[in-house]
Amino acid sequence: MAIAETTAPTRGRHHHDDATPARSAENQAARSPSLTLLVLGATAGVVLYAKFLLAPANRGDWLPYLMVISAETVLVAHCLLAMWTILSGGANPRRFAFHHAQDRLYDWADILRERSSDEPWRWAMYLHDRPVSVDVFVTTCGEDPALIRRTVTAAMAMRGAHTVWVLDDGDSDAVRVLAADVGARYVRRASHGGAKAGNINHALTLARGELFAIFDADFVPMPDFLHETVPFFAEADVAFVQTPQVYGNLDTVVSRGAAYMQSVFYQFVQPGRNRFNAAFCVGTNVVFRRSAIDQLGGLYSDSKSEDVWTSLLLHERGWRSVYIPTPLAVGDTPETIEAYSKQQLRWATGGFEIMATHWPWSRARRLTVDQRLQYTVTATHYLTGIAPLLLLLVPPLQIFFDLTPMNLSVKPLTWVAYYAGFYLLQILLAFYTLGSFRWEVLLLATVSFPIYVRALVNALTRRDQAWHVTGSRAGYRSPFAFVQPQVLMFVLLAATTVVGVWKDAGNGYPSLALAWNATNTLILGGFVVTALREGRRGRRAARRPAAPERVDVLPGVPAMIGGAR
Amino acid sequence: MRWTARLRLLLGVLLVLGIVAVATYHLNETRGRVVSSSAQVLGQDLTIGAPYGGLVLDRRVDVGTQVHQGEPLFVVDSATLSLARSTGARLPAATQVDAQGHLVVQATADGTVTAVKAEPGSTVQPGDQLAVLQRVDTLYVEAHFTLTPQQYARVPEKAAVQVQLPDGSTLDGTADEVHVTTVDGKAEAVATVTSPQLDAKGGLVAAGAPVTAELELRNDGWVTRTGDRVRALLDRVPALIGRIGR
Repeated sequence: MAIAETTAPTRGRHHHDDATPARSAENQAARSPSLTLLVLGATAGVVLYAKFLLAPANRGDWLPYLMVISAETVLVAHCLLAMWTILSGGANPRRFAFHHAQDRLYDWADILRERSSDEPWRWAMYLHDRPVSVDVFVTTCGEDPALIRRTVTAAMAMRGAHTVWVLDDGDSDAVRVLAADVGARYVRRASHGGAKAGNINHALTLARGELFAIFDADFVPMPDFLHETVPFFAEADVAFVQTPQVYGNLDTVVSRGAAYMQSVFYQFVQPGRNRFNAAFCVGTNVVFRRSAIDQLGGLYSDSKSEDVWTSLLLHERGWRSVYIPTPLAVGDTPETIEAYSKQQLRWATGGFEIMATHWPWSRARRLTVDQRLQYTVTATHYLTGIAPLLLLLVPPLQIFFDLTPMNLSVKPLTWVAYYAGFYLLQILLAFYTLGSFRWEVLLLATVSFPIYVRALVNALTRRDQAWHVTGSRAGYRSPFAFVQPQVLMFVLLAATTVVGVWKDAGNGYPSLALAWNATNTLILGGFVVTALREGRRGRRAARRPAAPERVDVLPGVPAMIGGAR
Repeated sequence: MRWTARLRLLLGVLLVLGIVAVATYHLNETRGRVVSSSAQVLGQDLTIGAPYGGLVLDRRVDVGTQVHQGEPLFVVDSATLSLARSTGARLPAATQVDAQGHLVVQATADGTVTAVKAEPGSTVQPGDQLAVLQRVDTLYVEAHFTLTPQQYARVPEKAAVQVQLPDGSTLDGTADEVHVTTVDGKAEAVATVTSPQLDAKGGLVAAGAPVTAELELRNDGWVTRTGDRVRALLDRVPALIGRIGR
């Protein structure tokens, strides 16, 4: 065994220089005592801000006051819960059972006998000295074949014996050819019901492996993916192991904002949820235990957020989930406003569906208090995306109708101080955990409210109202088809700013409302400019006969978001 | 983007601009007014005194009695009056001597008795107060406004003022005088508002009643002009429709 270990070429954490100590956890900041102090400070800031808002003496006119209070209640509650979750994320999910199983994952004698030490994808994997069979599903639906080839090739090359299946919902012959070319199995369905979940459930009728991994067509797995995830299944109660989504395409305002938002989730929130045994599956870069899914009768396919729903149902049945913050696959985050809007709509609808139809605190749910708490956060999280809508409308109310949320005797400076105590500390916290703060996040967070409002309406009315957009799949579609509410809001705020300047010039003194309104106008204007630029880029690309292939990120180079280190 | 989507966007923008225009018009209306920080009704008071000392025999009025000029208010038995008359002194104005030789003090003007200072049986010295009369047609409103320098510059002469009475009804008046002092960079203006309707209200308004006054500022910016033009246009719409209908 000892000899085998030294001869195995890719044993251990191979991409580390021997001279430097092995890298500690990816979310190192979550384990730092300084973070605890920072969170305590930020909590104090939040509490002071809440006290300031709720003090009866500070109340102004009812309408704007209620708007501010309801928006800030949602924001403050989620902020406190998120900080609590982040603080909980310091524990390493790898226990003795994991390390023990990882050490005994391969039969080295076997590998030497087969002379396959240079072909790690052939190494059979063992758990409790029993061979374990693994299927790897790559789901596709009309993506660029070159992109799919990259993913499938990387999936084939993962360490540990496994079978790769290309599940093609796009019915593309090019994909069939490339699958044969690379040596993966190819599956095409007769009917495309149930979207991605239906696609995988269909494949489960064909595949027989004890474990199965799922990758979206754009997520390129690293060679260590199975090596880092499969050993967790040595513990019999583990239903799935989820790894983060890491993005390689940070070239647009939208993708940078979306990626940064999610890097908080993947580096800090999910590890924290792990402690609550409430980390949820995000649909890709995940390994499932087949028998757990069989208990549910397949992945949940009645929602477009099949991943969250499946996780919830598994947790209700007492299964355990594991989340590791180790980047093991690199993919694409939405680059365009259209893709971003659709993704957010899908996720938010899933969350609101849980809120409307599957409230976690109902007595019918068999969940622990920890899980109920975390799924409540999931169910209501996207309300924080609707809150900006209310806050955007407060300054116009003051400019046009002199309705103020706070009492006039409250000095603007006092207000600014309390506000900063809340928001500046949040930004400081982001700086500490992720190493930077991006204005794109602020931009997207402020302007995404129409998506979440639509998701809420969809979930409450149980309808599935998407954007009615025509145009060929590959053709150019203007981003303005998706951002009409934002454009209208921009027009409203811009006009209000002009009126506000006129009013303040007449009064002879500046007002806080105008300052706020002008800031909001700039943020929405920034988004409209983003949409204009994207539209111009799209038109140019559509005029060109064939778009050049994107510059791809090499698999194996984790592009950690935000330049954390 | 299809043309329907473009149309929808255009209509949306127009709708938003329409809302902004209406809201701006509303803002302009309120911007042209300043509400008083405090205002009250005041009136001109007449003090009725005793020209000669003596014993008060009779009081003919109560607080609230409306009186006319020359109406008897008090009857005083005055020894000094008899002495003075014996030396041939002239009787002071607004007094009479009745058949018994007692001094009758009369109302000096039309008005309302607001205070009574002497009762029958009491002795008064010459010059002592007997009653207070509030004259009719002398009611006015004293209103305090806090103005920014810009607002003060827009206060016109004989500015129109709307006075809201405690019962909610409103009166139109004019600010005859505006006195101003500056405190903390803000103009503290005190306006004397007169209104012909104030006395017509009769007993409802008495001196000291709290009211609210709204001072109309000069408001001749482009918003006002545009608003007036639009309003003029809207006023003509029914006529136009009528003409088309015919």
